Amino acid sequence: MVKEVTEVADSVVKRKRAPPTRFAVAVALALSMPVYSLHADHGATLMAALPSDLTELSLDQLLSIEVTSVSKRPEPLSSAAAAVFVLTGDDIRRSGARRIADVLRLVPGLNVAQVDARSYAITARGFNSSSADKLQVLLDGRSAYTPLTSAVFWDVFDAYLPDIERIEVIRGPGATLWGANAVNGVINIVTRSAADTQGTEVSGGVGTEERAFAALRSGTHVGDVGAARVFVKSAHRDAALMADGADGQDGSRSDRAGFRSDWTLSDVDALTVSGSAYASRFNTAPTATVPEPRPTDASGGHVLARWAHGDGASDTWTLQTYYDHYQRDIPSIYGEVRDTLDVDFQHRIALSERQSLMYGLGFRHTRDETEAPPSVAVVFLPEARTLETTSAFIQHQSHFLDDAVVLTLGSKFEHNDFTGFEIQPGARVGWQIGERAFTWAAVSRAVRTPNRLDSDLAIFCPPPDGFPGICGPGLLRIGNPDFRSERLMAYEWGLRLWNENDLTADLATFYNDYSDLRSQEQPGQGSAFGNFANKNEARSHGAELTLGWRPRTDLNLQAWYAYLHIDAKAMAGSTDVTTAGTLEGLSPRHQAALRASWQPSDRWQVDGIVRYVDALPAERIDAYTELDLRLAWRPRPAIEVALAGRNLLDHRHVEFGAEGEQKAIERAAFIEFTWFWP
Amino acid sequence: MIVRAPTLRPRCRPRLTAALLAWLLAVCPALAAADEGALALKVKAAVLFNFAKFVTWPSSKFRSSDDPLLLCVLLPDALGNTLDESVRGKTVNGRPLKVRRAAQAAELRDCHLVYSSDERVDALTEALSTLSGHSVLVVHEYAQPLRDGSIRLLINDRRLRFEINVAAVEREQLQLSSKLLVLSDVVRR
Repeated sequence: MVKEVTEVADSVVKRKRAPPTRFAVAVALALSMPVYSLHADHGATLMAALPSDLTELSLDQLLSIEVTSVSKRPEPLSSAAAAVFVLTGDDIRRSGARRIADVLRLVPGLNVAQVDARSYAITARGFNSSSADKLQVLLDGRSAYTPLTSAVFWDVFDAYLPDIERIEVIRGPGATLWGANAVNGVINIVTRSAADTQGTEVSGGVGTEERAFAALRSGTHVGDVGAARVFVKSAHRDAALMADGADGQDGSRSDRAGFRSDWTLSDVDALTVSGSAYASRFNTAPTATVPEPRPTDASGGHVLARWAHGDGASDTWTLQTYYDHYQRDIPSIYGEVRDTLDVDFQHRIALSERQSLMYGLGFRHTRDETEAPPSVAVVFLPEARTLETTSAFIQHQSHFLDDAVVLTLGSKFEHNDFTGFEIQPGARVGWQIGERAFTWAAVSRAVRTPNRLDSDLAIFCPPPDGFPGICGPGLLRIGNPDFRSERLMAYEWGLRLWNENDLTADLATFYNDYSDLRSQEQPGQGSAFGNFANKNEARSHGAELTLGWRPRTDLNLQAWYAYLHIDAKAMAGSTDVTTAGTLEGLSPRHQAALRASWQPSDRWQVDGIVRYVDALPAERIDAYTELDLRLAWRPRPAIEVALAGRNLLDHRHVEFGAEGEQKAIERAAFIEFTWFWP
Repeated sequence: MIVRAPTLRPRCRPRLTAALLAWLLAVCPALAAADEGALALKVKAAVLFNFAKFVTWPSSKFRSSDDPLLLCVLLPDALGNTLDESVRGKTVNGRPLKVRRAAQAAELRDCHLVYSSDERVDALTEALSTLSGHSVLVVHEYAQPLRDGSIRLLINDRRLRFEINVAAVEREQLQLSSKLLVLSDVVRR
């Protein structure tokens, strides 16, 4: 990200005329990290598929079943009326991924592209960019996207991975529950309760790209009423390569610490308190504008408290509040400090055996201070801004025809400081056909509300001359204060089939109709950069097919394929001739993967995934196929040794980035030792 | 200057809200609790089945190589029927599984696994001492860890958990697979 913006600033200096969209993309890339609002427990309804005979499940699968569900109506994955996929903690531990972003490569239909040594472009169902703005991402109820760009700063979005209990991914709109930004998908990451992470784990390792890493996690019971854990972790990462094989000089060091405590207040009340802090330093290669670059620094932290009340009977509620702070300083490009306070309440009532009602209220207050010119090139006008969002949602679920049909109707109501009220209704229906089939359909409306980038972005062109032909001296505003929300109407249909022999098939299809997408209009006289407007539209359709097979109890196989087609064009009256091509050409049309997990004995685990990602014509990036492998050996219950290889099929390959500025991702291997003390 | 939102939005908003509210009011009948315990029982039964798979009993607990593995429930308890259904026709290491119920622990000494959900500590302690020394894997649900009793089931964060009492397991000469140790919450030594 840093790199892209630096390059853009360079091209300005060199009076190379950068295409406007490229600039917009690059600026967007520059600003990518965490904040915003959430509904703590929506994920509770998504559980692993339950066969009728539970003895078929492994012990760890059994332990992940909610035996006392919030809803009183545990909803197995096989009957969720949405394109849902759940990664279990076991999947995550066995993936060999060292970052959340890489874990997400296991999820069918998600497009995960590594941009350089630190940053990622991640989306579902298209519109990828390293500041992809149509995805809602939550970690234990905290929204990870920044109101600055609606993107996630993947380079600092992390956790102690073995503590993650599951990652639930919904492809397609989830706005009815999750609100703005849940346009193309929702990623909900849930960590284990502190009661489940007792004892101490110490791990450490070395590798070719993951140069050195170490972590410690320790948990304890606190009397009879609670449990707590703490973790610290640290990682040194090597740089990526330039496309020609030269050193990318973007290595990094990241340190992180966190805690979580869970308390039983009464039979029906539970309190969770958690917190974290992190600091990362990312090196940057020298450029024409910044010949002696200082490294980029990013740091932040949060505290969160959640009170869950429920007698396991007819109604439950949760009240959650968190405070989140981060700061990010990319020297001579941009600087930001942000503080966010979020309060969220939700209440679920079982109206009868066949009907349940859920509603919620949320409030978020976020304030930023961005760095002012002349020290930086990318600025926001005004430099400091407070934004408040108030939201409410209501959702009703009813079962008909002996529970074979479930109908879910609901809407989110949201008020934001840019566009006022937004309504995001949705309807979903699911139909259980006999014992072995389930079909569903949904119609939803979702919006991506404006952010600081859309509204307030400007570039600083230094006096006395500015950059002739590009911008005059002073501030050139690109953001548009009248920017409206981007809109989506989504139509989805899906089918799931399974048989007695643990063979499952999950097909999801969609047709999406987007309007008012961000455009960048032609500039006026003497300027290279026009203003943002809402003058692009797009239609997309696609399908995702996931097949699962468990031929033996010790072997799990999964294959998936995703197809995506996007038609984008400028709306009437627009002068934007480039963005539509970018929207179409930055997401792969075909993706596929084959994953195998084999546990030959208690002591050995073997895991592998082959991934295929189609070309990105907009930046002339070739299709690639890669292989990740992990072998773990547990000579004694208290010791594990794991050897992992990533991107094994190529010495280096490019996954994302502006043409001419791309970084190549290298083949990598690492070894990790873990000690467990009870 | 860009014109603000088209007028369509504000016009349809109140109508949609009103329609939603009207529909919600129409479908709200009286509150009623739903049945829940069945799933918990099924999960517990499946977990007990897994324990049977991952525990090795001393050979003296079996008379022959195809002697059944006895899964027993200390009455009164609701789990028996679910356990019957869950393990019917199944085998572990070639041994058929049988479910037995009894109100007196003394009748369960030849069982391999005994489950009790008794919450009265006196009754539970008495049962545990009766079974002690007979290589029985006792699975209980008492609110606190106990000196005897190999495995304690508990519910935490809405999910089933278990703790292994390693000392008790060793006293009873049982061998546990590392799979169990890894998945258990607390291993007491």
